[in-house]
Amino acid sequence: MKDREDKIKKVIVFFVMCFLSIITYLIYFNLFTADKIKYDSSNQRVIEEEKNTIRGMILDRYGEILAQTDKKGDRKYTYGSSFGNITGYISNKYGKSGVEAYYNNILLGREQFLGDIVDVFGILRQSVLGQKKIGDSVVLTIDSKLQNRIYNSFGDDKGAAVCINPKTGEILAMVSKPSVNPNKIDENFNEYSNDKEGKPFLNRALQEYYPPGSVFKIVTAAAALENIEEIDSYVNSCDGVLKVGDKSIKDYKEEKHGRVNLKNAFKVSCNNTFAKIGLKLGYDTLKNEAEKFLFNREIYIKDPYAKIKIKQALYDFKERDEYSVGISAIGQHEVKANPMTMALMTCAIANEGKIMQPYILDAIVSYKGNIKYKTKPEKLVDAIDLKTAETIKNYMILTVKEGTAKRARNSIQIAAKTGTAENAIGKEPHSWFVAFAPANNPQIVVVVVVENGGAGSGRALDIAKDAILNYLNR
Amino acid sequence: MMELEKKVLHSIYFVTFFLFFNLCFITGKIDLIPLIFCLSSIILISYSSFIIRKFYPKGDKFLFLISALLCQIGIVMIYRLDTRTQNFEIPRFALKQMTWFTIGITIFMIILFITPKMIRISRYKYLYIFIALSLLMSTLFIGREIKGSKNWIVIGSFSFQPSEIAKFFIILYLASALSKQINKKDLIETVIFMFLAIGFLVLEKDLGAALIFFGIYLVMLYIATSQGKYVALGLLAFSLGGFISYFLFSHVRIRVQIWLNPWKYKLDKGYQICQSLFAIASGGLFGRGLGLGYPYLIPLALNDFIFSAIAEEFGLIGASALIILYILLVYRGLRTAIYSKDYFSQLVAVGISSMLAFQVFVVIGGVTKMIPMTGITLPFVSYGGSSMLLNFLSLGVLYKISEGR
Amino acid sequence: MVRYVSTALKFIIIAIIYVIIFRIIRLMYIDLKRKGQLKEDMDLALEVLDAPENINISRGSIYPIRDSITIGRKEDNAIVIEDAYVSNYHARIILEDDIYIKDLDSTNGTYVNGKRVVRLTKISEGDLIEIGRITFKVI
Repeated sequence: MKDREDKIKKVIVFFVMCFLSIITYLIYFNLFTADKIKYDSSNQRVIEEEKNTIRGMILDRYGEILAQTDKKGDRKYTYGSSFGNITGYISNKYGKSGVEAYYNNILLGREQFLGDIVDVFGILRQSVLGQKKIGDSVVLTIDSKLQNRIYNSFGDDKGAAVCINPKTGEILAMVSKPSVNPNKIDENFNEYSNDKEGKPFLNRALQEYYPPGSVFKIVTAAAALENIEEIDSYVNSCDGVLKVGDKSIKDYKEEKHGRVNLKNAFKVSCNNTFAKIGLKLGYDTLKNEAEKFLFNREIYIKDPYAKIKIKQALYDFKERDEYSVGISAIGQHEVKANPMTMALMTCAIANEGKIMQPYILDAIVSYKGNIKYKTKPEKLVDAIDLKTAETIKNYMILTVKEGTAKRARNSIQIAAKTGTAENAIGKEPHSWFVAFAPANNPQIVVVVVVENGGAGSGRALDIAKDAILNYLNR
Repeated sequence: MMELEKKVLHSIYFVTFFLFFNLCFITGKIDLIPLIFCLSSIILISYSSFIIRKFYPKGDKFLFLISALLCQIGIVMIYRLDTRTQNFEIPRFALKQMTWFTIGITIFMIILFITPKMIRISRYKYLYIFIALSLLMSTLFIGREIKGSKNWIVIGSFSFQPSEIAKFFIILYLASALSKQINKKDLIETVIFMFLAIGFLVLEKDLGAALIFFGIYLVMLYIATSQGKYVALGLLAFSLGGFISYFLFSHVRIRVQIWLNPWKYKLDKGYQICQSLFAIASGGLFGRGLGLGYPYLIPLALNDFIFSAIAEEFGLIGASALIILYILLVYRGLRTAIYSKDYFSQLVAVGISSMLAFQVFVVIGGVTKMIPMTGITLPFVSYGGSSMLLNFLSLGVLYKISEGR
Repeated sequence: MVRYVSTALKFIIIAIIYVIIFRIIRLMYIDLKRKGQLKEDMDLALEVLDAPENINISRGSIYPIRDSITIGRKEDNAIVIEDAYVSNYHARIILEDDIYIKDLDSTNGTYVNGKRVVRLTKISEGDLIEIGRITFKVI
């Protein structure tokens, strides 16, 4: 009998262990698995819950409404297409994109904030009156006037533009043309996705590759200033064509710039000089310098609530013969960049060599207007030292004064660099323009790329200049 | 100790009251039907515990109290799910479950009154195995396939699962066969009969029941023969059998595949388990509160998946409380076995307790994806007549044993 | 409305269920303490509520009462208390239809709920018995 009693006790222990293992498993599940599966697309709770919540608004930096849900429950986007790549869209059929997707939890009021406890009475009243739950609103760093102005000045051209405050990293505008109209996503979805030429779903500002062309000379110049000791006395004589092996690197219209130093070569965007400097520096030094300006690096538009990936700009190629290295120094060949990374590069020049972490979420506010969260600017990297930054800044000022960007001259001093990126043969090259202003106290960095916009930054320069003047002359 | 029982009883009244009181509000309007349910439950529980105290004071009252509490949780959850049906007026399933609960308690009482001394019913082992096997076999011929298992018998509008009843007779058979001095021949006899029983269940695709039968057999064998080698041998046979049936039967294979990666099949075969996991995930630590979650999105929320529904609305802490209640119930059952007077009663008590334990483990483990899902009901909580009746029948026998008569 | 009723009640309900669990576990604990003492009659027991340090009895010990027993300092008592304040044969517990306690002319006396036991006194669940420096609770 005693023996059996012991055995039964063993059975008791066994069963208790079984049950406790279930509880342990459930704790594990709640801690590690639950959050991953909660918002799965096949979980109808998500849909049911969204139906019972009034989605928060999306606002620009001045509180202007960019998106809100009307009484009927439809989502209305004030500016439609010009913000298509920023606000994104929300559709029962096609899901969500952009801010609607990245900040979905905030817009649905799922994020818990410390301050929420204070508003117990508000929530209580809301629920006693049978009102729906109201999500929080998202305030973006975007300046909607600027955004719309740039979008409209693109006209029918394709391309992208990015405006950043170099001192904080706030993204003031981010245009991608053509774009989708989030108000009509359900009607036009198929049309948009079949548009292989315009690719309206592609956010060109972050996700497209363009060869940076002459804009890359900023990197090459910085590398030269940092690595070549006798650079102050360096003089090159340019005859318009540089023979490298059996190939040649030509200047625009094979123009002969004659004897130029680095400053003047930068000002007139002399390919001959920069290719020679590139060869002098070599692949590794160029790559190293490009990486200081965020090439080959994973970077994000980031805040505690979302991480928006920026397509990696690349300075990384296998064929490293003289021609390839030389031409890479003027931003051709395998060098790939997107407008955002170029804007961050320009930020380094404008902001004494430092690049700030770019961000788009300015603040989170409750439906009553209480601020629940505010992003604080943070430094991303120290790209170059102050001296190099100031030197290149002067080059860029000179470029506007008497160089390739003369058309950008204005009472407000603008510093800039033009670029032309060779593209598929037979088509007009892409035109680049990177600039910041006012040069002595930079408030805004503008980068514009116009696809097939022609050589010498023509279209891009006009758009950027208009944007700068519009922003600074308010 | 009487005092403690009374305290527990009163707490159970409180819980029952608050549960049903909560139900009054969940439709948005004030609904008074739950209070009627509440009143009948409390009357039923207090009346039966009064009878037990009066006529059978020596038994383990906690067996009854815990089960009654579990039933209340079940009825409330079923009521809550009822309110989601179209044009909700009366809680159809909750009403039925309430009826089953009443009948269950009645059966419990009847068992107490009519069962002769336990030792006397140990004589008919062949009768028990005959009943059990014919019940199991019957579904093979006249059974109907419901939710993928051919383990239901439908007579008119009444349907029941013979395997539920068979479980009870298997326990009686094993107890009577193993309680005597046994030699090799007797042992082999039980092996053959159990093999047959489990074989039928596998053929009927009732894998959960097969698992439980096997578990009961192993535990009872272990207690009766005091030899660990039989358990080891049994486990070996089990792994071998599992291995073979994995390759032999597609339904076994599918279950395992779903278990390994339900997300791959989330829209078809794995839909149930995925929805169940969503429910548990959305419940979090404290749950959403009664009426605030979406447990009706889980298929079979009334039956097999009622645990997920509870986990959604009462959270991890509520679900853990439920599991602990089961631990206590099983503990009281096995404690009864320790204190029982004869071998037969002891084995019956062990059998019944391990039946409850395995059933709870298999179903909760299944709906939480800890082990592969097999469709069985949660004792005392899930909706269903036959399981409710069987559970109260077993409880009656257990109580009788705890009385020591 | 529903939201707040349900949220509040959820916590109340779960709390009470845990109270139930706690009470049953307490009983389980009492059960385990009487290791291996097989006896169906477990209706009453004495739990040590308070005892001084360094004697053979410790707080929380449980003595089931299955028969009439004596309590005292000598070895042949059913409950032996090695304490100077306890007499050799201090008190007797008598189990008939009800349960009684009788003081065996001890030096320091036996107290039930603070009252000194003079003659045969009936005790019931919840009563506090003081013997020397030890307090028992009838459970």
